[in-house]
Amino acid sequence: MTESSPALRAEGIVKIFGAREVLGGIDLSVGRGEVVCIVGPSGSGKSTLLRCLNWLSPPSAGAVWVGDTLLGQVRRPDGGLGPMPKRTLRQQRSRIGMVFQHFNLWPHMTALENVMEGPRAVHGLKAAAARDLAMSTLTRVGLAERVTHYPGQLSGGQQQRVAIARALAMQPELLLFDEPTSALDPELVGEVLDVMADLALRHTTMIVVTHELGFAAAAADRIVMMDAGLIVEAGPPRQILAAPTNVRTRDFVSRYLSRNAALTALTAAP
Amino acid sequence: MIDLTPITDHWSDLVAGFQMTLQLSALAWGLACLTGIGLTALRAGGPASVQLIVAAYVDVMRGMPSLVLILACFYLLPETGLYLGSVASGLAALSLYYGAYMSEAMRGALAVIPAGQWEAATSTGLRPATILWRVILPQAIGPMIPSLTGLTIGLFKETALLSVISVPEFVFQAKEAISDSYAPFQIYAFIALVYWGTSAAIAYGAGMMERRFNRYRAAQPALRA
Repeated sequence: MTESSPALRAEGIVKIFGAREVLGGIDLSVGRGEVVCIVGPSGSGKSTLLRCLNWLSPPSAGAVWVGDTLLGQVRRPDGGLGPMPKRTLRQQRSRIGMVFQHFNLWPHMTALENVMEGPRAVHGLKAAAARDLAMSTLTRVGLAERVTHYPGQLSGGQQQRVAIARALAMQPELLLFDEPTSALDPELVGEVLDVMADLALRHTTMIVVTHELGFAAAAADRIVMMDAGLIVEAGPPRQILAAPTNVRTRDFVSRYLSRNAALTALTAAP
Repeated sequence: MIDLTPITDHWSDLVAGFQMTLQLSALAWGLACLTGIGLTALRAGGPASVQLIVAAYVDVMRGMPSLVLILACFYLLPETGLYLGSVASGLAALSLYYGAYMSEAMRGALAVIPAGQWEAATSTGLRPATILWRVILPQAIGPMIPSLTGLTIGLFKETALLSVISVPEFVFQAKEAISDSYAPFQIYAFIALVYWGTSAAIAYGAGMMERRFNRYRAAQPALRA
């Protein structure tokens, strides 16, 4: 792996469900330590793209590289691409952490067991070592006091932090977040975004699908605006949020800002 | 005072019959479970044509009285050159029949596990066998137990049907005892009591197992911090 290669590179990602083209050819490159936020209206293909990036939902066409290695596919002797052996794919997936909108914690395992499972089963850690790792990772997301709780005994914000710890414990090269705060009560969003902002500060490579433009403005190195299965604009937050050139980006951002402006006006009123 | 001598006079035959019933039940249950697991696996992961065949098989079994299948196995299989004897053909019939029902119960419990559970495990890099064993089954077994318990008790009781093909099980021995003693009331009352007691014991054991597997759910509404 060369130092110069990006953490993740996607080329020409197309995804077709039945007769519907959900992704129309996406190119995306994410550098090491970079935080990229993907924004856009519902149905624009953001989550589908994320699921293509770790081969959870293999794209209909296109290729993804993690570091220097092709993901999910192998180069055949004739130059074409063929499916990758499942074992290699599993090994590669373990290098990419994923955090889901609905947490997807395993409900029959405690917080600690949720975080221990991957390191034990995939990295072959002994129980004691996995326990130590899980403890320190849960402590890092502020849940040292909740390790023996089952997911059902935790608030949504706490569950999502366990899910982040579960992904972190695999020591992945990059983290994918699929609308991590969309399923949370408003008062619980902050604690999850705080953990994510902390990861961003430590230069964790992250791709975050989100509606939280405030988080994107503060934490992202780059914002990618998607619409109708395509990237319509990408650039630093200052450019995308303050001076968007694309009309759909402008619409999207102004809707968000006017809603916030209304809130600000309301709260400022005597 | 009820005269119990018809029972005590035939005690050893009745005990032997009940032992036969227990053995048949245990064996048929094991085979039905294996059949059910096999059918469930084929239906979940087999090619489309196999899935269709399995679905058709389950449908046929569900639309047939078990007695018909027992008689078919006993009388028709020898015509094809496969002579199994009464015990083996009875076992085969019950296993095939209850296997189909069990696969339905298993499929139902697996179907309600959200796709996100698989996805989280897959994206962690777990192997499919590990996902099934560590993530899916521990969640599916609890909800599966009530319907599997009903089927287990049904299977246990329906071994009585094998008396019609002269398997020397509990009911068969009871009928022998009745024709010898002319005391149907005592003997039928006795075997009914034994069937009920055994079914109740199965239900009790299953209830304990269900609580064991659903412990994490019971823990849930408690602390919400």
